[in-house]
Amino acid sequence: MPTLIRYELKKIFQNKLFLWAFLLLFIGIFYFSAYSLNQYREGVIGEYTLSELNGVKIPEMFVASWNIDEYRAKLEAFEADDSNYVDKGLVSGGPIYFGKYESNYMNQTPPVLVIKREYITEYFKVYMPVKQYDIIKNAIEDNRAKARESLTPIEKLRLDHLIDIEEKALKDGFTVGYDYGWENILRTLSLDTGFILAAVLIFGLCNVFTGEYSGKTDSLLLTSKRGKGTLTAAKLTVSIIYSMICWAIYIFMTVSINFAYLGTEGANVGIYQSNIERFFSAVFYILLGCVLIALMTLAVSACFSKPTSSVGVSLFLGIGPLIYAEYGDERFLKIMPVNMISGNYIRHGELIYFSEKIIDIRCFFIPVAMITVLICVPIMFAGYCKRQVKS
Amino acid sequence: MEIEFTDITKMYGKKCAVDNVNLTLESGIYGLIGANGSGKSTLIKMLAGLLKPTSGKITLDGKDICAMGAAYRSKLGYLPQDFGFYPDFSAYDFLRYLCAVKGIGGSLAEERCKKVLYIADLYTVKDQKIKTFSGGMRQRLGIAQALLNDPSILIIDEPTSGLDPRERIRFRNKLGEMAAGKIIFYATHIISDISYLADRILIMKDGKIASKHVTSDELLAEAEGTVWLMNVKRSELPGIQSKFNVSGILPLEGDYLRIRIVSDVIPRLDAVSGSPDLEDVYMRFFGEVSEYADADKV
Ligand SMILES: Nc1ncnc2c1ncn2[C@@H]1O[C@H](COP(=O)(O)OP(=O)(O)OP(=O)(O)O)[C@@H](O)[C@H]1O
Ligand SMILES: [Mg+2]
Repeated sequence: MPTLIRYELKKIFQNKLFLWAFLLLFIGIFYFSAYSLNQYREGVIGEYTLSELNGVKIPEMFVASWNIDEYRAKLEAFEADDSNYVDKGLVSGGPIYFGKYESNYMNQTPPVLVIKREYITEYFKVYMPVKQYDIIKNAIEDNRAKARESLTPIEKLRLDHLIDIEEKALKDGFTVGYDYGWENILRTLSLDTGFILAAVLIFGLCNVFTGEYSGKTDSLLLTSKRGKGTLTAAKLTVSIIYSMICWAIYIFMTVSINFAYLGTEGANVGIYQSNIERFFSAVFYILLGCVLIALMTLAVSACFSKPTSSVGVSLFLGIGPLIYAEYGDERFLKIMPVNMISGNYIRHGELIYFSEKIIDIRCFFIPVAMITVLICVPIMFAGYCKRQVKS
Repeated sequence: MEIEFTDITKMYGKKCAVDNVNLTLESGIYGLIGANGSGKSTLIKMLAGLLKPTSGKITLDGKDICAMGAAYRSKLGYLPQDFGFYPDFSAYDFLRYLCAVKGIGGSLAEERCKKVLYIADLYTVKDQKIKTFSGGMRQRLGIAQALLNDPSILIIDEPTSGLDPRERIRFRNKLGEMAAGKIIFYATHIISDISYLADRILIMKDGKIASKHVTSDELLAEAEGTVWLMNVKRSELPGIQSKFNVSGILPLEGDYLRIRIVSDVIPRLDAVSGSPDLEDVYMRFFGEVSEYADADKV
């Protein structure tokens, strides 16, 4: 088995198609990381553009309904203390400071109290928890209002579900801190890079069986002692190793590009509700998605003799759902393996209406994985082991 | 060891490639000859387990080969007529990989690879990539892989078609050397290979075994009195070719040719009887009269 695995890996890595696909992946990761980093730099956190927040660092803070009053009291105390302010009046251009009043940076009409630069960190320590808490609280109220006049029962269920999540966050608490780095990684991962990752898997693996058929080596393998069961198992193992390698490169590169740019502390400081657990769940489901796409590709590969058919059908089954699910709300397509690799659920969460309930899309992934395995593995074994070598 | 074909038929759609073959193989070398498209490769693929017969079954010592699975395949060495390599693998890697597929591991694999590389005369080029090999070298590598597991059932489909005479003779001798106790089933168009090597000759025609279990001597004895030699004028040739199987033409001085005819009856009174060889026997079975005779007229 180890020898088989070694040579099977060699075959995959000697595949020209795969080399091109890998190059595409590298370029894709760079492109999308740069794209999202760039967007973020110009993006807005709260009311402030990111560059305004340069150099502001706050520690992670835990906020919940039972300690929010503490923060609120501190914030009021801070704001009441005039020695924290440099000036009162309009600010235009120049070094950026923050005002007490919530104003739009671009057209600051009301007089603004400008906080001394050295106090900004202190200010954020009390301001952010309160700010985030209020955002969530307002969201709950908004959602309640919407739910009252909601259009469809499904929409109402969805809103109720959101309200539940938000109320839970307030009750059980959430973390505020700087996780710009993490946030941006999630952002990158939820972009179309996943699309390329799926393509790399498909291009790399579509020839695992088809290559033997079209290269006419199948007659040698299928007449050998271990050429059926053991070899299929070796090919399966190698494909899983391959998808893990792709996954590891993908995650590693995305994380390191972001950190190289932002610094490991989250550098330019995002002050946000922390989402690190989302990152870990995404990383897990991306791996799961990779393995499932690999399995689907193998099953297709075992059934087609022509490389073009094998690539075509694999791409259609593998990546198709991602494209079609974008138009309209095809719930079935939204839970296909490729959506574990790339999708909104990575960053914001995605909800699906199913049997009169609103369910987080991630709850579907494990059952979908099991079904995919149950379908693909037998097809793969049957397609290859029962093959009739006609010409 | 005994392989038995019972009522083996293979249809490709409506085309019947192998037609109700019944055959018993015991240890020895079987030479299978037949015209292009007569169904040799199809029969061989069924024996190798690559094709399911449309009907009938093949058994080894009473057990269905499909049901035996790996146990049958472990005895099998197979060289297909048309097969591929991994072009970026070296010859050694290729064999080493196939050792693993054949379930030969560790130091035994090394040993077997080395041995078959010597047999196929490829040892000196074992580290070259297969894509740099000539056609004959590839053919020899194919032979080498079929011998890796020291098979007791060796099935080979036109193994010598691309080989130069020296290599062909070498291979033939090698087969003869290792034949003891094995079943070697061997399809070819090269009559001399058969006559030197095969204990038993099977002639296949239109999907059927036309003649079985005969030695080349028996075939020759049977063909005795069917070969005729005569001198004819060049201009008479087309007329004769449209009536008889001509198995040889030798130009003589002037306008004359010396021709060799395979026919159960004497073609002309001036013809003299000649001693048959296996090509004459082949022509008796497959020489469809007049196929080429008309070519000149077109
Ligand atoms: N995959 C296929 N589909 C349809 N017909 C086929 C297929 N393979 C072979 N045949 C037909 O079956 C018949 C037997 O073919 P086969 O390859 O067994 O002949 P053969 O004796 O090996 O010929 P050759 O000497 O040229 O190798 C031929 O008429 C061929 O056209
Ligand atoms: Mg053939």
